Amino acid sequence: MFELWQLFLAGVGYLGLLFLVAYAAEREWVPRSLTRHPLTYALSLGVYATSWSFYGSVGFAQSSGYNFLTIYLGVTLAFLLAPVLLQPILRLTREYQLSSLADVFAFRYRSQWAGVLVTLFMLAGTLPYLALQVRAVTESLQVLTGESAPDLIAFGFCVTILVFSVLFGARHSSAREKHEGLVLAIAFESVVKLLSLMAVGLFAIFGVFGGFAGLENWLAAHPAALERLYRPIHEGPWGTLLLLAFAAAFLLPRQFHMAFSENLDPRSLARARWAFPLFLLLLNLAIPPILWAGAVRSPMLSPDYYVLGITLSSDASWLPVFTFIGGVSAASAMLIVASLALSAMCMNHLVLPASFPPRLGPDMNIYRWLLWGRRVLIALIILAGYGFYRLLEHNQGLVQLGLISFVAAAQFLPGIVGLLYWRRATRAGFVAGLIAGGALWTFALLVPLLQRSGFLVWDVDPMALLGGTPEEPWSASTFWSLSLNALLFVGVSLLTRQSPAEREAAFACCRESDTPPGGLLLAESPRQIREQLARITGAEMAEHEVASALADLGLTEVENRPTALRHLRERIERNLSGLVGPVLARMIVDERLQLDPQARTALADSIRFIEQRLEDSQTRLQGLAAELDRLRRYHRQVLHDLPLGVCSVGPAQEVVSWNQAMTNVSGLAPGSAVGTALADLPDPWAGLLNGFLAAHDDHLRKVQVRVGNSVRVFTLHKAAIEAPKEGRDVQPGGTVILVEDLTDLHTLEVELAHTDRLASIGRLAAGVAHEIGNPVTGIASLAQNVLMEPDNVELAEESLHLILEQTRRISNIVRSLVSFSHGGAATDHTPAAVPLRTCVDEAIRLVQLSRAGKELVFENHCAPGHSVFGDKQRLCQVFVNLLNNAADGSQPGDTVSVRSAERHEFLEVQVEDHGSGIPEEHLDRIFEPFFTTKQPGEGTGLGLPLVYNIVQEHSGTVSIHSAKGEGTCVTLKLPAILDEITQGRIGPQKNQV
Amino acid sequence: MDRTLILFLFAVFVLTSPLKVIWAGVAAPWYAPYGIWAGIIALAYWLERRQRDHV
Repeated sequence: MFELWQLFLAGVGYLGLLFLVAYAAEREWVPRSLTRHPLTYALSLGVYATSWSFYGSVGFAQSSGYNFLTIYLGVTLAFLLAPVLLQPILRLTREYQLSSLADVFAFRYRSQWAGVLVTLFMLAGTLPYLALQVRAVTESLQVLTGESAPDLIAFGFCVTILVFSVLFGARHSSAREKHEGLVLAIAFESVVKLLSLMAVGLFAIFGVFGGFAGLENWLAAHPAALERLYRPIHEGPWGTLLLLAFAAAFLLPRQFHMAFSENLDPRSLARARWAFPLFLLLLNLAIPPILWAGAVRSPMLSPDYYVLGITLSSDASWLPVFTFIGGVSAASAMLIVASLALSAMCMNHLVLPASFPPRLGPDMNIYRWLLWGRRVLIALIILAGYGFYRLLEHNQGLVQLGLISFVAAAQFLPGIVGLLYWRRATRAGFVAGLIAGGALWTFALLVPLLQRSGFLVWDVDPMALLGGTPEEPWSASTFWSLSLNALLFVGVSLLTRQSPAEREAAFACCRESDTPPGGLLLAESPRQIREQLARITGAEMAEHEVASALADLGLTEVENRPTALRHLRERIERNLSGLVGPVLARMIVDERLQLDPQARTALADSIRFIEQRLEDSQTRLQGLAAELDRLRRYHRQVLHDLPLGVCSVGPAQEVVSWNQAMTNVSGLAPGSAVGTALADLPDPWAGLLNGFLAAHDDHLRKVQVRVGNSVRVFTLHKAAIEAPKEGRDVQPGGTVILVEDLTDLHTLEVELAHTDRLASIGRLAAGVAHEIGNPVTGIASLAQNVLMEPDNVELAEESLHLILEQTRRISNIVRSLVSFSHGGAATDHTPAAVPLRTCVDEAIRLVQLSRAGKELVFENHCAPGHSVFGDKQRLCQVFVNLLNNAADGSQPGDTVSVRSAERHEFLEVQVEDHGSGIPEEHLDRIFEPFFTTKQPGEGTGLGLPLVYNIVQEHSGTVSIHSAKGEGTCVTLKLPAILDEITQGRIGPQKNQV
Repeated sequence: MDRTLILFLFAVFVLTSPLKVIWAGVAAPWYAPYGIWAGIIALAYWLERRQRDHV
């Protein structure tokens, strides 16, 4: 036997260790990989195993045989269904910041009454369970010390648990925040429970029976022991208990809290499908050996405490203390988590609706008010559990108290199934079912409990009316309460109608909504939203909530996109839901952040909504739907990876899609571009895309745009998106714009053209030397004359004039050459109106410098009024190349003529010679780069390809007609700029050396 | 999803049908229910691994 103070110190020391574990996790002294590990999550779900499991399972096995396993097999069944049952609830709680089962029901049925009812029922159902934990701890002390534990011990235990819950479970003002310290501490408690019970089990097998062989021999000698375990499976309430445990696995407040509210990573739930049942299996493996060992060693003790009793016969004094710690661990985990879960429910559904907005002074901090409100509620709930423990009759078995709570939790089964899978379920149906089920639960289970404890004197035996027995009331009470509950839930739901808000919530819960929420926010900026919110929540809360929602969505203070602001409203509502519950949150945003219901949902928003739904449903799609989804993903990926900017614009001129190439050229991420009005895009994109959309032409070639510090060259194409003939969800129409980034290609072309010009100059070199040499010789002669007759002023003056004229001639030649040869960057050539006649004149002057050019007659018949819009130097290069070719193919004295004519909106320019012509077999290849029929060193093969490219850049075309021996006519077709003032025709200008 | 439901129905069938007579008969060893339970957990583990690999 132990002294009371020894065990008290051991218990307090253990709870101190628990503080340390939680504190270490909060301070991140423990690696986050451990805190967030899926197995830590699975172990934290072990809060399910309370004093009932730790002590009571043996008593349950004694009275009901292997029926005790149903309490864990039911949980296994529930977790097998995790993807279809638990995952949707987890998604819902995370997405809408719902922190308790009452929040979930209040959200789905859009009813504060639903939340109030669930909270009250949960409170009533859990109090016996809380009392059970306090009683288990005090009675375990009694077993180990042999004396009655004073009530002060039970009270001290409750106060210690209260302090822990307040310090580590209510560190934040809202239940929406996760508590990593709490999760790790509860997981640690599960490990302690498991190790402790396994140690007792090993002692039972090896310490009592001398090993497995001894156990088998004992069983062979006592066949009734095994028969007592197996027989109740066939006779007892096996199926009922499986159903109750199935419901309790996720509907009990503590289970809901750890599984959903404190879930740190949704993926952990998948791992918990097998890890949590495995924990429960290991925990229960020792129960039969402990039962038999207890019968051998402590036959006079209540089987509920065999776990402790047999350890007293052990030589190791640490074993009873370790077992006692295991029991404290089981009880404390349940008390802590249940009080946290219930306090969140009470705050959101009892306290806040009655007092919101709280009547505080202007300087009061609302978050502090909420935080301390939750702490006070935690204290009240734990003390209420202690009070219930004091009031109860102590002969009540541990299992009986626990099962009363299980039947209460099962009353939420119809509601939760309806919430997930039946859109037609209504608020009235849920409330009617729950009231009926709750009333029957009270009558069948709570009334007898109070009768036995002497608090209620009522000469009625509920079980006699319901067809059960006082020993086994579970089947009858579960059957009648659940049947009536489900019947009313379905019947009343079918007879009543849903409100629009309820219907919207039903779609959200069933994930079947096919349209995004409609309407746009009346407020036009985060600042206005803040001002509106502040009127009901106070400035500090409004400031904090708007900033938090902006950060969650990655938006900034300057956000003004209507769809982004509507998302901001939704996020604020969800965040507020985690703080004050879904009903109040909805009320606040509906009142202060009103929507314009007439506003049309943007196409970008509709598409984003549908894509999100498809993403979420990916694993659920099957057959043709899955194939279609794969096809959709493939097409979307193709569009995304296309090395061509794709931007589609909706009918309301908002950006609907923006692929990776667009992001690369613009630096704008899809997230910030999609949904934005085209006019609100940053420069230069707003002007460029808007201007292009407004233009008649579907193509805009080689437009130079300054993006950041560099100038880029783009070609734009557009096409109208035809409205599909059918389709409900996606608004039709809009335009798709393709943006080709030709900067690199353009740079290459410029360099190539420069190379070609230099080659041309090389070919002109001899002519240039001759052209410059003649005036230089003239200048020399004139200078010599002046020197010979220094006194002849008249001769000197005349000579100087002639010298100046010759110098001008040289300057003109040099300027033409420099102008032609100058390469420069693409930005140097600003498009402008280029008079064709001037351009052709300049080209003729250059070509005439060559030997072949000198011997030809060039005729420029271009009208002075004919101009094209483009780059003068490049157009000049076109004519130089064409005239050079003409000169190469002509005989001395031949005529080469250039003439222009109007053809609708185009100018047709013909360069015609009467030379040797081009052989027919070469006509198909003359635009190929580096194809030439000239001798090496005489041609680069780039002349005509450059002509082709330059003309195409100017939105023109090139065609060639040639016949061997008859000459060649090259026809250029270029968009015209008609100068009306100089449109009068003049005769041809002749240039001849 | 299909496999999840099939496993669930299989577990319900094993645990609640008259099949209980086989694994919960008097002649069964004391750990037989744990063996059945462990088998269901092993199947759940296999299914979870399989689904994890396919994600």
